Parts: sequence; C-alpha cells; structure tokens
Amino acid sequence: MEKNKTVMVVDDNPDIVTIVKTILEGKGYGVQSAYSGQEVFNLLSEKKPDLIVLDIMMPQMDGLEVLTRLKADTVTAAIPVILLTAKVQYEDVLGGYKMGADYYITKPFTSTQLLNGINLLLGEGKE
Amino acid sequence: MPVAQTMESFPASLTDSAGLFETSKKVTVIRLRWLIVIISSYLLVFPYDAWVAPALIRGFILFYLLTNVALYFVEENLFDSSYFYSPLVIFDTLFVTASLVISGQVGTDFYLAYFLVIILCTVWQDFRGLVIVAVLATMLYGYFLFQTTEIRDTSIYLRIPFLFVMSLFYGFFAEVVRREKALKEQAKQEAQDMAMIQTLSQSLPSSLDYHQILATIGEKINEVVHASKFWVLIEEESEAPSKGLLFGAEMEEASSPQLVDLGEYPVVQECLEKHRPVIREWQASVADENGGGMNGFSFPLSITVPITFRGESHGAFLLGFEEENRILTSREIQFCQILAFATAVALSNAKKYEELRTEARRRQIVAEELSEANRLKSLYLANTSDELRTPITTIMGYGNILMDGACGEMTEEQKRAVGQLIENARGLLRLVDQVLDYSKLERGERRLSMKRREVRTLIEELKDEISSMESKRPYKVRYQVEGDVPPLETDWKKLKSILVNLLDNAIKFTDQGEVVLAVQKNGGGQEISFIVSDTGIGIPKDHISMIFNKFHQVDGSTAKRHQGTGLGLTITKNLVDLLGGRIEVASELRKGSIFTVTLPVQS
Repeated sequence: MEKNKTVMVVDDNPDIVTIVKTILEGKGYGVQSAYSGQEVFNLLSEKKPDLIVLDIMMPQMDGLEVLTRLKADTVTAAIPVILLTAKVQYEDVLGGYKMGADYYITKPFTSTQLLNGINLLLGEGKE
Repeated sequence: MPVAQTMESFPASLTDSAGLFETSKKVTVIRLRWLIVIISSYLLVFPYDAWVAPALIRGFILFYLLTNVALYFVEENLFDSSYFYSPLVIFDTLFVTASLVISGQVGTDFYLAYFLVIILCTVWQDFRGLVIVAVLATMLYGYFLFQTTEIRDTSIYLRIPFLFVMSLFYGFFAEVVRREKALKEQAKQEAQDMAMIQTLSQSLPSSLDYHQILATIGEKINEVVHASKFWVLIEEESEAPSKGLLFGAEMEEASSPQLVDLGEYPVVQECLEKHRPVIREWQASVADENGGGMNGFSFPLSITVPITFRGESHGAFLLGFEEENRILTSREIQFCQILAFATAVALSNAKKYEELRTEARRRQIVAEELSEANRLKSLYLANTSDELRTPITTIMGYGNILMDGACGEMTEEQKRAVGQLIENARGLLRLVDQVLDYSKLERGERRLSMKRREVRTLIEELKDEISSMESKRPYKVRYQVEGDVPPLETDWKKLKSILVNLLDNAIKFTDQGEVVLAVQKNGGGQEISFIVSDTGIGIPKDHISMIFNKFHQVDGSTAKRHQGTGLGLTITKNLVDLLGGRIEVASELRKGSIFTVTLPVQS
C-alpha cells in the first residue's frame, strides 16, 4: 500500500478481472488488466508489475503458455505468478507448480484467499 | 453311363478259394498226411525188389505213422507258422521220395512226372486248377501204368491215387503261403491307409483356412489317387442356395475360387442328392460354354464325392482321370470317401471358428465403443464441472465484494440477500465438486494417501463442515464416539468425503428429529464402524438396492424438494470400496435410515 505495488490480472472472463481488481484496489494495489495471454506481453513492455494473477483456461494462448514464456525470459522470470483457475484437480495444481507458478488458488476463491496469497509472495504478511 | 462300383469286391477274392480252408489247418494237414502215410506204406510194403531188410522197412513205416500221430498233439497255432510247416513239407518230400526209391518200381520218367506235378501244383494260383491238374496227372499216370506194367497183383491200383494225393498236399501248402502273403499285403495297405488318414486328420483340422484345407486335400489325394484334375465345389448358402464356390486346382496351382451356379454341374447335384460318390465314364463337358470353372471337364473317368458331416453338406470334390482304361479300385473310392469326411469335419470346424471369431470381434467392438463412450462421458463431466466453476466464481466473487462494502455500504436486508446468494452459490459448487469427484472415480483415479490418526480429530473437522448445513434445522448433529476406538489408518480426506456426503444426505432428508454419527469398534477391534442414522423420510424397500446407482433419487417429487445430483451415494460407495471397506443400509419409510460404513483399522 505504502509502496503502491502493481498487480497484473489476466483472465478472459472480464467479471473475474473486475472482481480481482475491486478486491485489490480496495487494498491499495495498482491493477493492470489483461484479457488474453497476448495482452500480457503488450502490457509488460509498458510497465513491469510486482505480481501477476493468471488464469489458465483462455482461448488462443492459455495461462500455462504465458507462464512458461514469463519464466523463460530473464526480465520477467522474477515476477511472482499466482495461478487463479477453475482447474482444481491434483494433477493441475501439481503441473502448475512444476511449470513455475509461485502460488495456486482455485476458483471460486474468497478475497481472503487472494490477499493471503499476494501477501505471502510480496512479503507483506506481517502487516 | 454311370457305373456302380461296390465296396464288397475286395474281400470276395479271398473267400471263394476253397471249402478246404474252412476246416482248421491242423486237421487238414493231418488228413492229407494220412493219405501220404498210407501210400508210402503201400510202396514200402510191396516193394518191386526187396533190397532193404523187412525189419528196417517196418520200423520206417512205424516211424512215419508215429510222426503223423504226434501231429495231433502239436499246438493249433504252430500250423500257421511257416517255420513249422516248411520243415514238415521237406521231411514229407524226402520220405515219399525215399519210399519211391525203396519200392523201386518206377523209372526216372516217373520221377520227372512226379516233380513236374509238384511244381505245377505249387505254381498254380487257382485251387480249382490245382484239382484239375491233380486229376489229370492221376489219370495219365494210371493210363501209363496199365500200358507199361503187366498186372501182377491188384495192389497196383493203390498206386493210382499217389500223384493225386501228392498234388493236393503240395497245392494246399502253396495256397497257405499265398494266402499268408495276400493277408500281409492287405495289412500293409491298410496300415498305409490308416497312416494317411491319420496325417490327414492331423493336418486338416489344424488349419481353419479354406484355401489351406483345400490345398491339403489336393496334396493327399494325389498321394493315392493320382488324378489328372481336381476341383472342390463348396456350397455357398450365404449367396444363394443354388450357388457354390469352385476351387479349381490342377493339383499344383491353386487359383482363386469362382462363384458358380450349382445347376451347371449335374454331377455334383446328383452326388449331393444321393449322398454317395458318383462315378462316370466319358462325362461330356458340363461347363464349356461359360468359359470358366471346370471348362473342359471331359474325362474318360471321373468321380464326384460329397463332402458331408453330420448331415451337414458342404459341397463335393471332383476328380478327373485322363488315362485311358483307368479303373478306380474300391480302395481308391474308399479313400476318397474318407478324405471327403475329413474335409467335411475340417470345413465344419473352420466355419464354426469363423462364426465364433466374427462374434468375438463384434463384441469387442461393442465393448470398445462402450468404454470410449464412458471415457468421453467422464471427460465431459470433468470439463463441465470445470466450466461451471467460472460462473460460480463470478457469483461468489461479486457477492463477496458487495459484502466487503467495496461497492458502498449495504443495509442489513441487502446483506442478507447477498448472503443467501453466496450460500446458494456454495451449494451449487458442492454439486459441481461431486460431479468432478464422480468422474474422477469413473476414470479410475484411485490415489490413496494413507495416514494413521485418531478418529476424534476427524469429528472436529466434520463439525465445521456440517455447521452450515445444519443451520437451517431445529436439531444439531450428535456425535457419539466410543472411548475405546483405536487409531485408524486410512485416507482421511476420502473418509471425510464419505461422512460429509452421508451427513449431508441425512440432514437433507430429515426435517425434524435427529441425525446421529456414532463411531464404534467392530470385529474384535479390527474394524471401525461409522454409523449415520436419521429420523428422516426413509427409503422405500424396493429402492434400497438401487440407491447406490448413479443419478438415482427415489422419485421426481423428492428430487425437487431435496436438490442434488443423485451422485452423492454412488461416490460414497465408490470411495468406501476404494478404502477397502463396506457400506450397508437399513431403512424404514417415514421412520428413518441408517447407513453403516465399516473400515479396516489396518489397511
């Protein structure tokens, strides 16, 4: 809040983006919204966020591909990524972590779950 | 013109030879020898000029007499052995010759005639001929005897039958030898045939392929019959009753079968109607015109043999012979019939095998289709439940935002409304999760993570989980855990799902009264039972057996009042199975139900 950290929210469903954005802005985060995998990289060239909340099931470029590309690029590899997805099965979660995700939240989620995850990754848990 | 050949002709040639052979060999030999003994004795008793001592002659006669008497004590079967009767014949020949020499009445010309007759008799193949030779020789000898000798005493008449008896004696042994030879020959041939049939019966049924079978037949036939051309006509009922498949083979080249009309082959039709081989001489060409199949089927001799087994007719095979003056022996015909029978058995087997294989293949396809459909269904269920999560997320997300006041403060009434919204979305989520669980189980995902724990900790977790469900009921779920329940090793997440499902059901169907979860040890401490009992609507008797079936709810009206996928109990049952336990139900309509899950303490 003090440092006004930026979170990028990526989801093809605008409602989810709105919900996450509302929750995060309520807590003082700056929020970038992306509605497709491709848009992530357009936005990245403008400004590098402190954290990315990423959906998996998206048309064209899906979340796992975005994740792979982010982690493969040294510029973006350090940005923590939270997978926020409806894929709830054991293999999905495991697969997500294996591909380099830093945190995994299943839909539906509560604002507490989301904020806890972000706090954990941005080191603001003590607040 | 069809020539009827019968099977009986072969043994007939052996039986007509003589009535002499009907009596036992031993008796015949002894009788014949008596005659020789008498004649020899006569020759010795009335010598022309006695140059041997009479005492010696008497001893000689006595010895010869005794040898024939001794034969009565010889075993019957010794007379069948050439090792016995050959020395006997040589002995007799020597004795008779010695008698002739001693009697000294005849010249060298008689000896010549004597041996000539013996040779004639042994060489003569026919028994009647033998008798004629013997009679003629006797008459000739008699004639010469009376011509050359002046009759000094009447005993000379006894000399006349001498040659006749000798002819019979040697003729008999010659015939015995011939018969033995013939029998041996026959046995050898029979053994050959048997060996052939055996190899045939081994090689035919082992192949289940038409072409293979037909090739084998062609080969075997050639070994015995040496036909110029060979065809097999297989009836093809699947095409039409009058159609057939013609396998033409000039022994070596196996051409592909042709579909032909049986009507064009009257020989085959006749053969199939009569159910026996048909032999024809100079059968005119039957199918020249159409240019295919048996064109040029015109042979000096042909045989058509039906291929039938247990009244089931498969077709016929045809053999054509090009040689002039070819005659089919009964053995060859018999062989063809045996071959036809073996072929019929083989074809019958091949047909059955083919039918079975087709059926098995059809079933396999159905099974594969079913399993694929099932897999797709599970996949669809999994995908659907993933897709459903997104709208639920949205509903709950917006609900939470509203509740948090992110869109401005709400009145209590608004908050209650939004709370209901979130609560229902959560219920919907539970259903979606059930579908997902079910599809997981369907796809055979059965990963277990076993841990040993106290049951009490589970009860605490259950209380949290259940509280939202029981909030709308006038009662609280009661938990009764017996003091001596041992720690349990199981997959606790799955056990929790089982109990949540059962409690959820119990609460759902019980408007008032109570719901109890009792935990107690069972089976001498080897098992633990979890008993969920309620005082709800109960289950009709005829439905109890079906409640674990998927998508089953008692009836439409209850389903309407008590929402649910109907998957809960199916999943529960599957999970219990997965944990190696069992689930039992007792229920009475309008009184309540008791579900008992029993798990082993040690997995």
